[in-house]
Amino acid sequence: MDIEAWLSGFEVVAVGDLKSPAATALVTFTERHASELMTVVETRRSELGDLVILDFRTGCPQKPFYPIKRTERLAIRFAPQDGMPLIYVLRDDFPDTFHQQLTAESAPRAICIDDRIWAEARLTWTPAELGHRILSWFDRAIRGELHDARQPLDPIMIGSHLSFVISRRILGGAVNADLVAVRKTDQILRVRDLKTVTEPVDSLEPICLVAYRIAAEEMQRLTFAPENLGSLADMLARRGIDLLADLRQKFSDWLGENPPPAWRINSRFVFVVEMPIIAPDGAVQNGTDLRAFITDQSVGDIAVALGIAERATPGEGSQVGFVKRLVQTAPDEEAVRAILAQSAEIHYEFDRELATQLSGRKTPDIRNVVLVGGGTIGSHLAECLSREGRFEWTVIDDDRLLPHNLARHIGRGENVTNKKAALVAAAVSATLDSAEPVGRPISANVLVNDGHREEIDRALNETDLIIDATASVLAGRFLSDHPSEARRVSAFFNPVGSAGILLAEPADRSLTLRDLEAQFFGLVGREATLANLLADSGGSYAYTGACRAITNRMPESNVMALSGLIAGALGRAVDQEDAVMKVWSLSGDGDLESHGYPAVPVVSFAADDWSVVVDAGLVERVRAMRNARLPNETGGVLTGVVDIPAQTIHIVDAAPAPPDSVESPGGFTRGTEGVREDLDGVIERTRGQVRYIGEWHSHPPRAAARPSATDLVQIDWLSTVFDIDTLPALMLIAGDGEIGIILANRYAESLRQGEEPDASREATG
Amino acid sequence: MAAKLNFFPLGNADTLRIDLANGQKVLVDYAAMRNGEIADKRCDLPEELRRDLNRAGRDYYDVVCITHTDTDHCKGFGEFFWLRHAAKYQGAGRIKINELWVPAAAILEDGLTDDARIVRSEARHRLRDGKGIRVFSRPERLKKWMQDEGIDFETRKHLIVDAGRTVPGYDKTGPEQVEFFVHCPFGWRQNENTVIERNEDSIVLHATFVEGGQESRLFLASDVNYETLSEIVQVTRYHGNEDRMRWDIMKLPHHCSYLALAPDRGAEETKPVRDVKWLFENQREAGAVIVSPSNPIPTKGSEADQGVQPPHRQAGNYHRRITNADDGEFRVTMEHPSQTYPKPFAYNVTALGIALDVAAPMVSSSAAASTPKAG
Repeated sequence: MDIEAWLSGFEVVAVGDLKSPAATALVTFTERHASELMTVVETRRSELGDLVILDFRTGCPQKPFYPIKRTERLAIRFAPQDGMPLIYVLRDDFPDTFHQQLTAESAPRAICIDDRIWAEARLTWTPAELGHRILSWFDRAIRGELHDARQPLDPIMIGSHLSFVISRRILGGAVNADLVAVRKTDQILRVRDLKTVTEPVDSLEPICLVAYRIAAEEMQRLTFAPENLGSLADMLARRGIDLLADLRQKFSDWLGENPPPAWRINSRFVFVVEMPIIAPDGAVQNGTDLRAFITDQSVGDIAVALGIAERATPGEGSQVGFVKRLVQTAPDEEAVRAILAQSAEIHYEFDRELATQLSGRKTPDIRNVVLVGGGTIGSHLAECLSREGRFEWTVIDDDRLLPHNLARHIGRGENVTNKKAALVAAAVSATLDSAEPVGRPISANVLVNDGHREEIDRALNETDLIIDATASVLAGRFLSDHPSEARRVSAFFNPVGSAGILLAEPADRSLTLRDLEAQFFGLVGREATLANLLADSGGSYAYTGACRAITNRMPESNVMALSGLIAGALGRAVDQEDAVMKVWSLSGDGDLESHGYPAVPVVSFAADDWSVVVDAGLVERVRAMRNARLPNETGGVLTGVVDIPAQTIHIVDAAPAPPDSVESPGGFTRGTEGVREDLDGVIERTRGQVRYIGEWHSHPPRAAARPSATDLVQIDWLSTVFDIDTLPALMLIAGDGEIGIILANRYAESLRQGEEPDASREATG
Repeated sequence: MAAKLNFFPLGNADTLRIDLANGQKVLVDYAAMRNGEIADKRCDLPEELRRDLNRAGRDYYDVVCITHTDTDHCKGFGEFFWLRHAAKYQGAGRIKINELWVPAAAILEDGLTDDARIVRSEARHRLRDGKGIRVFSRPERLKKWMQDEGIDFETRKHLIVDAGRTVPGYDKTGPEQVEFFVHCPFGWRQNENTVIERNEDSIVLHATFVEGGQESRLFLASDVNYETLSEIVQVTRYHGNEDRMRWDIMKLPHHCSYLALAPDRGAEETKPVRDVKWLFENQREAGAVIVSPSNPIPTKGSEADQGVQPPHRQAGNYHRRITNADDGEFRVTMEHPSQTYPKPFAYNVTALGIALDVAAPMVSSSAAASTPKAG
């Protein structure tokens, strides 16, 4: 690196002749305020901008980490276009450190003092800040605290700032597809497969791309950027790649094809080099760096310079403008060095790998998901989770997007009347760059036995996860009962749209969505913080079962906030084994409350065609109430979730004895005071999902949970009562160390104290 | 907090403030040289020192060391300090001295005037009083004077620090993280030299600082000439104390005079005598710093270049050459950052060695350091 030669490209001028106001400001600042820190040596300018040459006092001690000088001569370059000033160090033996910009071979080293975007930085930029940042850079260099190994992918400073956007898939199989660069601006080229491009032809430029990967053991840290094909070949040769020989082989093969690939041969040539990141001390760091070099000439022209082709017209037997030389000659060194290789930044298309990395996770999540419901919550969950790089999606929904849906959906005006399933599947596919679309729609009703039944069942059976976003109790229970072995997750909003709820089965499915739903309703009936969760805005209730049907007044801001929270928790939930029950509530002024609840194990009993599910939490609460009243008996009413067609009862709660009850060691008479009010309250809080299902009482010490003669009388009475609703009567007896359940006059198997409810058991009947 | 060595542009005059790691402040010489004229580029020393003391919330120095009583080392002493020996030096705003360090000459010498005399009066007072003083001397040398004064030598002996020792109360392993080794005045000279020569009866100190487990060494050579320096080198080597002559930062003796190097000035560069050369070239650490407390080094052929007063261009050339040869630094107090506007500067004692204290000026830090008034 010849500092003098580089400097001579800039003419020495008076300060008054500088074009950049910032450069002039730096000179003035230095002279007026910063003479102790730096001294202006001279000012220069060229078409590359203004240079202010400074002697900068670094504060370097005797034994610095890097061999920094006590005074370093710097050139601050202010580009003609408003841009970040660049800090060159005018010393050819300036050490290679972290946080330097990769400069061209012909330019001095440049330190990277500011990684902000200039558009942002310029709002507060002052010469004082520049001085401060330079000093801080040296201070860190002196103490060896420039830690970050990843050299910033800064644009090469001399020359234009060129960027490529390219898919990892294209890079992988680059030479086999006809590629085209879609020019978005002068500085951004998006590389696409010619077959997939829809843009107008005049924005397209044929491009031929070859990728090289430098082996970690061959890698030496890149300290300057090559500028032409010759220096690029030199750089690669030092790292174990014989570029020119490889190109000769490739070009020779292409020219030998019949017919020759005209598109490729007339393309500008791009090299992509993937290299391991190496720290200045030579240590290999995690990660790789991608750099592209675009030539100013076509493959054919390069082949000519390499001595393997010559130009030819159609008349001379070539449709592509070049023919292969019969006798290949050595590369023309001078011509090769005349082929400019402009360095460019590479941006990967947004694919699963990038999405995973950018969302802060390590492993791509390629699990199959069936999302049932492509409405408000379903579309937003898909939006969030796909941008985080998660899942292969199958979206099931039979609905179409109507104008009012735009209030709370990811669809746009142009999507109105489209099927929601197709729309959501297309959205996730359009987000993640992938060989096969990431999203697949099934536009059908998951419940209906129509022509899609088989397709739906196959999707459910073959998937890893099922997300119930139907906002329907019915569909949720259908999905819970489906024979598929996939883990289920359910997400929904409360009716007023102020809260989001997530229920996730454990990985082993020892709890089903039905069990979690019952436990959730139990919590709503019992927990003060959830008392108003399912209330509607009017405060009245009806037996609509519409506990998940949101009103039409939920703002999108709530949808996004709550969907985001649910999506995050959903992702975390399915990354671990346990069940999850979580509720987020937004207050009117945007404060957020969140509550997580442990899901408790359940055991189910079968009696006749009915099954009864009891959870460990309930058993615990009943035992506690019994123990508190011993030696007397005690008891109260039972509440639960009943599904009549499915013939299931989930017992969710046992109320304590009403105050007017009569408790004695020999018996218990349940009172009536407050019972009606309590039951009405639970029905209201759960919007009718939890109802009265029977009675419980305790037996005295050393007594079993078998029903006594008195109990049998009571069960007869209960049966008469429940006949009104054509439901079986249910009685629960808490004995010494066991719980007995009598359903419709039949005794179900008891549960011993200390025994954890586990897998479902057959009732003994 | 790491130690800091503060230098001041005072022309050909010495003042060094050492801020120690534990917050103690040691002032080596005090020379308020500024005459108040606009063209006078020397700094307002009392103002600079007061600002620093205010910032530290102090009205005293732990130590004030007057290396010898020449004007360029004690000018203004009687105006700035709160002195114990007379009420007229005890007004408000004066700065107290916990411990005064002086060479024996400052006690013994007759015929002193002005501030030198005030220094002597204060030193004698403190010695009589038996506290707040250390006299640098061979103890026997003070015996007679103390007898004449009726002072009990035995009860004052501990206040006298002989050459070849470290100053009590300062330890590398203590919170102050520094020790001071005394090179001069050395007693044996008295036996063969009956003439009391002020310059050669100066305090020469070697300080060893410890920061982050690393040692950095400061050599403070007062105004001694090449002969005294040579003798110091010989005595120190004789006693095997070469380590006490290694240095990372050197305050040049006698304002960059050639006489501190050799008897001959030289045409372009002074050639130091053998022992002085050994001190400057063999005992310097890599990247070591030399500070010349002096006027700008004269340019060749200028009026100052032709005069006899230091600084001497030839000595400057020597120092500059040997400093540049190993990435060191040669800094002149009246030249930093520029001859036009010299300003005080400081070196930090860091775990990586001696480093110039640099700061990037920022509006916020400048404003924060000021006390704006509104009316």
